[in-house]
Amino acid sequence: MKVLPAVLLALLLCRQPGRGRAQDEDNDDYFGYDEDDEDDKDDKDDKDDEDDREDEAGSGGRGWLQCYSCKVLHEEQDCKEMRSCPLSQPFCKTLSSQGNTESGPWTTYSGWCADTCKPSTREVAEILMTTTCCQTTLCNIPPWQGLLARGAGDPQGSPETVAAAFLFSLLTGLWAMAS
Amino acid sequence: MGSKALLLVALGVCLQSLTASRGGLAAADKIMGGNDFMDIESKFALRTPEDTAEDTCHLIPGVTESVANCHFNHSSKTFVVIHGWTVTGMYESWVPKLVAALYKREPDSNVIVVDWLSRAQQHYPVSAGYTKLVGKDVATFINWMEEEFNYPLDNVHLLGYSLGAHAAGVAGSLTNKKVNRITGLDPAGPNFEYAEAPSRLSPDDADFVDVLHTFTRGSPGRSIGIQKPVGHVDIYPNGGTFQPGCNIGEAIRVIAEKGLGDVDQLVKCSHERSIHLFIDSLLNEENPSKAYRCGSKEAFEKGLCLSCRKNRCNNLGYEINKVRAKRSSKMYLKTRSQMPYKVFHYQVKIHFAGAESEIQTNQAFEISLYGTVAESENIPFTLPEVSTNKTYSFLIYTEVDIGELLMLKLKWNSDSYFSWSDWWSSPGFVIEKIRVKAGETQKKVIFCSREKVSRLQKGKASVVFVKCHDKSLNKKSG
Repeated sequence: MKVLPAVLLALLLCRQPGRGRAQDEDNDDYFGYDEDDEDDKDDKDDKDDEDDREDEAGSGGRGWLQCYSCKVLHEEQDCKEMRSCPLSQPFCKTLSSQGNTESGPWTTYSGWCADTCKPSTREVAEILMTTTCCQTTLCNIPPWQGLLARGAGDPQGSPETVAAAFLFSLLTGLWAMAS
Repeated sequence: MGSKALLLVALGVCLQSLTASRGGLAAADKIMGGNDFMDIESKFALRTPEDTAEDTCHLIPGVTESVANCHFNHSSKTFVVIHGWTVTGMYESWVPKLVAALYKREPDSNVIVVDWLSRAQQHYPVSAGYTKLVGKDVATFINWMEEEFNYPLDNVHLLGYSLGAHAAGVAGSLTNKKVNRITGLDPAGPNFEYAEAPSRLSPDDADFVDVLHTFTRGSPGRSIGIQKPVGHVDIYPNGGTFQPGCNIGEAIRVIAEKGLGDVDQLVKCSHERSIHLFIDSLLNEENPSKAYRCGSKEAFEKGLCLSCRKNRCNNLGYEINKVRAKRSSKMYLKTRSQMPYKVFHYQVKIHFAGAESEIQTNQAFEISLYGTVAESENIPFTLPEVSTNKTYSFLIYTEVDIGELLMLKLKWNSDSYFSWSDWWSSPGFVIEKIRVKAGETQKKVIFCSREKVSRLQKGKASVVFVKCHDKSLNKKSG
C-alpha cells in the first residue's frame, strides 16, 4: 500500500512543471498576425502562410510519411498526435533538450514533419540539444513513449496499452526521481 | 570664318595622323558625325593585376594600336571604373583596392580606370556639370571599341562612384547599344536629386542598373548621396543614411592609429562604404550579403521584410540577380562595421499575454540566440510599447553565422539597477511561443516555452524557449 502515495507523489512532482497540460495542439495560427509583406499591396494574395497546416491542405500532395507531431512534451507525456507529412517534408524530426534546474534534471521532446533535417548534438547554455532525423513512419516516437506500446500494431494504442504506457512512464519517472 | 576653316583643317590633319590606319574619309566621317576623338579629355587606363595602382597603359580612342599595346583581352568582360569628385586632384585610395578586387574575382577581365581628375577637382557644381562631358567621353570610347573591334557591349560593366555614377549613367545613355550593367556606388545627391533622368543615372542607362545608397543623411538635395532610387535595384544598407563604424568615436580611433592623413577618409566614410561593400561582394563570393525589398525603413526595422519570394530578396554587389521590376524597388539590409560586412537577419515575433493588463513604453530587452554552430548572446532591443495581449515584431541580427537555430533566451531589463517601482511589483507577461524568421536561411522557427507558458518578468532572470517546430519558406510544398 506504500506504492500508492509514491505514485501520487510522482504524479504531482512529474506533472508540476507541465502544469497538467493537455496534449499540445499544433495550433500555429494562434496569433492573428499582420501579414509579413504589408508593403506590397499588389501581391497580398501571396502572403507567407503562417500556418504549416496550410501546406498540407493547400498542396494536395500528401506523402506516405507519418510523423509524431508534438511540442515540448515532458518526460511522462506521450505524443498522441500523428501527422501525414506533405511530400515536401520527407523527414520526421525530433528535438530533445536536457537540462538541470534546482528541482532536478528535465527533458523535453518536440517532434514534427520537416523539409530539411540534419542530426546534431550541441550543448548550449548548459542545455543539451539533440536533433535526430528519420524517414520511416512514426519513427520519431518520444524515447519514453511506447516502450510497451511499440509493436502493438495500433500506434494509437488501445486503452489498455495507453494505460500501461502511462503507468510505465510514471514508474520510470519515479525511478528517475529516486536515482 | 577663315579661322574656323583653319581649325577644321588642323583638326583633320591631326586626326589623320592619329588614325593613320584609316582613310581620311573615315576621319572626315567622324567629324561630320560629331564623334570627334579630339574632344575627349578623359583618359582610359587599362590597369593590370600586377599593377593595380598605376595608370601605366592608356587606351586611346582613335588609336587602334593602343588597344593591342595595352594587351586588351577582347574575349573577356570589361569593367570601367569612374571616380568621383576629388579635393586633392589625385585618385583616392579605394581605386587600387577596387581594381585589385575586380581582378581577383575576374582574372581575365579588363579593368579600365577613367581619369577625369582635372575636371573632378573643380568646385563641386562645376565638376558636377562636367559629368555630362565625362559620360560623353566614356560613351565615345565604348562606341569606338564596339565599332573598331566589334567588342560586345554586353561585356561592359560600368562602375561609378559619387559623381562618377552619374557620368556612367550619361555614358550608358549615349552608347550605340546598351551596356550590360552599371553599378552606381552612392551616386552624388547635390545637383542630381531633382535632375531629369538623362543627366543622371537612371534605369534606362544599361541593361541592368544596380545602386548602393550609403550616405543619404539630410534633406533631399543636400545629402551627399542621392536619396531617390535611380536603378533597377536600389539597396540602402543600414537604411542608407549613415554607416556603422563611421561615427566620431571611430574617427578619433582611426586618427590615433593612422594619423591625420586619412581624415578625408573619415569625412567620406559612409559615402565610400558603398565601394567597400562592393569590394566585399567581389572578395567574399561564397557568402553574399542579402538585401530585402521593403516599403519603408521602418517596416524593415520591424522585421517585416525578410521574405525572398518573388525576388523580394537579392544579393548585394557583384552577384546580384538582375531583377527588373516595373517600378524601382528599395531594398534594405544591416551590415557589420567592417569587412566582411555580412550579418544574419531575424524577425522575432512575440505575443505578450497576461491576466492583468499592463502597458509599458520604451522597454529594453535582451535576446540570445543559440544555434547548431555558435550563439549570439544578449542582443539588445527596445520596444517602444509593450502591452498585454499584443503581438510585437522586430528585427535583430547577428554578426556570426550561428547555424540552425536551436534555442532562445529572452530577458526584460529593468530601467536601472535600482528601480523601486520594479522592486515592489515587477511587471510581467506570459509568453507561450516566440516565432523567428531567418532571412538568410528562409526558415521559420517556433520556439516554445519549456513549460506550457513562461512568465517574463522585468528585471528578473532570462526565460528559455526551445525550438519546437521549423519550416523552410519558398519551398513549393506538395
